[in-house]
Amino acid sequence: MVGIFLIFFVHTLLIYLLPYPVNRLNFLFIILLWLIIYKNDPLILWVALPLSFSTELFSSAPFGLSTAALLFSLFLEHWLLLNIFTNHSWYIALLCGFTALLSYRILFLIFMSGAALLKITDYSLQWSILPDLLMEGAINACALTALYLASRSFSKRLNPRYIGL
Amino acid sequence: MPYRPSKKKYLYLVFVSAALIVLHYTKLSAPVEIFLRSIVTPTLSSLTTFSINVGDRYQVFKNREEFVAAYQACLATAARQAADTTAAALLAQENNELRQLLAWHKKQPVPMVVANVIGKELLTTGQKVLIDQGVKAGLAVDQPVITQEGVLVGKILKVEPDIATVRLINDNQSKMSAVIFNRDRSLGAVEGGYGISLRMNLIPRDEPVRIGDQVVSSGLEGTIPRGLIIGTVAVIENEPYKPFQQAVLTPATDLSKLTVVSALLTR
Repeated sequence: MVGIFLIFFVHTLLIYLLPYPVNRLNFLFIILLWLIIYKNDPLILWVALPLSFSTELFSSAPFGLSTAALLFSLFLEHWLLLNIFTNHSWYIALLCGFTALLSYRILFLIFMSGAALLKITDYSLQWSILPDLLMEGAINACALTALYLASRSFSKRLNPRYIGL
Repeated sequence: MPYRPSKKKYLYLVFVSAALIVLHYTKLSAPVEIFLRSIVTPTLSSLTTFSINVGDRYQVFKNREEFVAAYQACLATAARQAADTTAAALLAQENNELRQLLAWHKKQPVPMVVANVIGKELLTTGQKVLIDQGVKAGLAVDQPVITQEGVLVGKILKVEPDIATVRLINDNQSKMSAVIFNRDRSLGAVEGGYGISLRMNLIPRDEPVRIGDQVVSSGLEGTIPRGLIIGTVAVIENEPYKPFQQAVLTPATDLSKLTVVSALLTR
């Protein structure tokens, strides 16, 4: 519970404090992805649920759309890690970060367009959003790779298996 | 052999997510949501104040000359504004006298609700802010939101019982009808651009626009009254092969540093 609040707090702090375009850093998503890569456990999706719902309470998008997009993209990434991206190198973390964020945003845009068709919200899809989307993907992929490399080197140093006697 | 999680775990997750969504739309979870928001809102509000203070510290002068130049520009603006204020007061007095002579119906002032900006929206990439008033205070979708100085900053996008989301005029989904205060009173559409810029499109090509011309709301949209200040023209783009000219606007207020706003209850 404390961990969830801490992730939410840091996510909010980064969005509020960082200048554009670095404020596109989605800390919440990066942490969830990092946990999926690191632990390879579907239970992480359960952590995503309260985190996503807590951010939905302060969102203008119709309730549930963002959570659905987040869960689908994390599930997709988990499947990719199990079946395709099986080599856990740094470039796989980079690729994971990029594909996961793109799939999350694309799913979210599809859901928003669907909601707009049903007159639930007024949203019009614009192609000019594409550069912003790619930049967001790149920033988050780099942040995920940095976090992955830092945690890997840190865990190897502290793991008794790697300490020579 | 990789670890394959059972399908049951995913099904439980889908079931719980669907249940939460149903509870939200049937309003059964509303008390819990209001309670959770009331816990988080003070933290968000503190973070907003903190981020605005940090943002203020970024605005430093590189050298003495830059500071002196900015100070002199400020003095010149203040002198110009003092003259404008006097002229406006005289015009207002004259206008009142003429209205009385014509037995003009007095305009009813639009009621408004003052709200604190408690934060930015967290999920999407748009330019939206959260305010601490909602349906209970009479707020509704599409009502205009202004600053204390009467500058239009956005429209209400979504209302909850206790909070509301405001789509700022520089959001990429924001569009509103506006008028330029030039000789022809040119009409156009003001659109946002990812929080970086504010553009005015569909300005007729044959109507001259000058840098520094003021842009205000046109009043053509039912919910937004005429004359709310939006910004000033900073750049004009008049291409010979395009049917309309465009202008880049400077917003009349810093939209990243909003702390207190007012919603006009026009609906």
